[in-house]
Amino acid sequence: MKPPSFRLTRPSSLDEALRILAEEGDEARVIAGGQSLIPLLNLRLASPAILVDINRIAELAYIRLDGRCIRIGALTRQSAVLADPLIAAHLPLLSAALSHVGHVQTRSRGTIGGSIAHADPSAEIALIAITLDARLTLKRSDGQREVAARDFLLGALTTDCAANEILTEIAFPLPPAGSIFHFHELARRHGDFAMASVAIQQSDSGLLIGLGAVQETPRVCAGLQKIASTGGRLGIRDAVAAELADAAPLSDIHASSDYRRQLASVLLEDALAKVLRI
Amino acid sequence: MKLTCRVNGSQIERDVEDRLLLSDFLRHELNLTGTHVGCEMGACGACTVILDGEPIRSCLIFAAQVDGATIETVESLSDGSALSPLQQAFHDHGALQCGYCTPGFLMTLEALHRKGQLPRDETGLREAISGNICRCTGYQSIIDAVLSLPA
Repeated sequence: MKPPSFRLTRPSSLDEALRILAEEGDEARVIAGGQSLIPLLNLRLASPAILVDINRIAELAYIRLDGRCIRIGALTRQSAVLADPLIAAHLPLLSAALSHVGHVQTRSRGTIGGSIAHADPSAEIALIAITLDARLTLKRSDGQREVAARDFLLGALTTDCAANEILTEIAFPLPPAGSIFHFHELARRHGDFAMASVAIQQSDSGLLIGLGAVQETPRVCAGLQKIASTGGRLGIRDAVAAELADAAPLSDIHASSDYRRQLASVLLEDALAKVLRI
Repeated sequence: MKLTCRVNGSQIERDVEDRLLLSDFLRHELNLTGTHVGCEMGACGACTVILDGEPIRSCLIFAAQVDGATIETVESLSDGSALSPLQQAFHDHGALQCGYCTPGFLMTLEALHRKGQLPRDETGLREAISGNICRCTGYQSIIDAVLSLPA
């Protein structure tokens, strides 16, 4: 239960961190809050030769309102986002989800960007980023690019981040005025890995519905976006069943595939009934 | 890697191995064995300490990463034999059984107490301590102890 040997580098600027990654390539791994990576090291499921510790790079921690979006620096601690009045006022869905991310001690260290880059299927932050169609900024020593969160997450613990890139920013579009939000998840205990989670934003332009912890990456429930209240509870049940028909829910120690499908159905049906006021 | 930090009010300077966990640094290098190690994978909360005012898991951070920081462990709570208010409340309510998890609970609650973020209701408190596991299942007396503290 002790990590294998590695060389720890602690760059104080983003440029220096990107230069190390450019030079070391696959041998190096970025460490932010470390709340998922250090357990993997302690369990010896990961053994990078070099750790690039970005915790001293103050320029990566910020929360800014910028026109029609809120920009969050990747190194911003989950506890800081949870306590931020700007987030509470403009992105209540993110605030609601964050209270389910780990525990008070892990949120002190854990970062917004680290959680997305780790890409755990049950992660709440990635669910919100995908539901709201957030955009991510990735930087490398010789450039940068923007990618939609929906395209960034490729599978369980797998992303589109290259070995020489660092996720630096997450930009959440501001919800339309008058939007209604709903977040709910089922876990064995508060803060445990979710077995199923649902996030909804309802506005005049329709419903954005995300389902987390059921598949390898959060699912955008596109088939439910136009659902109307006229079909009642039965209509919702049929629509949810149709939406999940092609889903192949994960099976693990917390929940079997069949049980996850059942949880997902119940969560989606209850959430839709609530936002559609049925 | 060179490490300079403040631990329980004392300035510490050491040369540490890069892979040394803060929990092991506190216990083995500084002999502060009040910080307990349960799971070493971030699940149990027994190793909780306060880093620059925030409760953290000391098994999920390397000692070299606390360079320049201030760390408080359970040893800092009492003044000699005079217990802190939180410790006294634990004592009065029998809020410990085997005691292994107690330092972690105390440091989590101490950090929240100082920041004025200690919930005053049972549901909120249970959520606040959800990152600390008591294998004796003695949660109720811990809740009772915390709720007895003056607001």
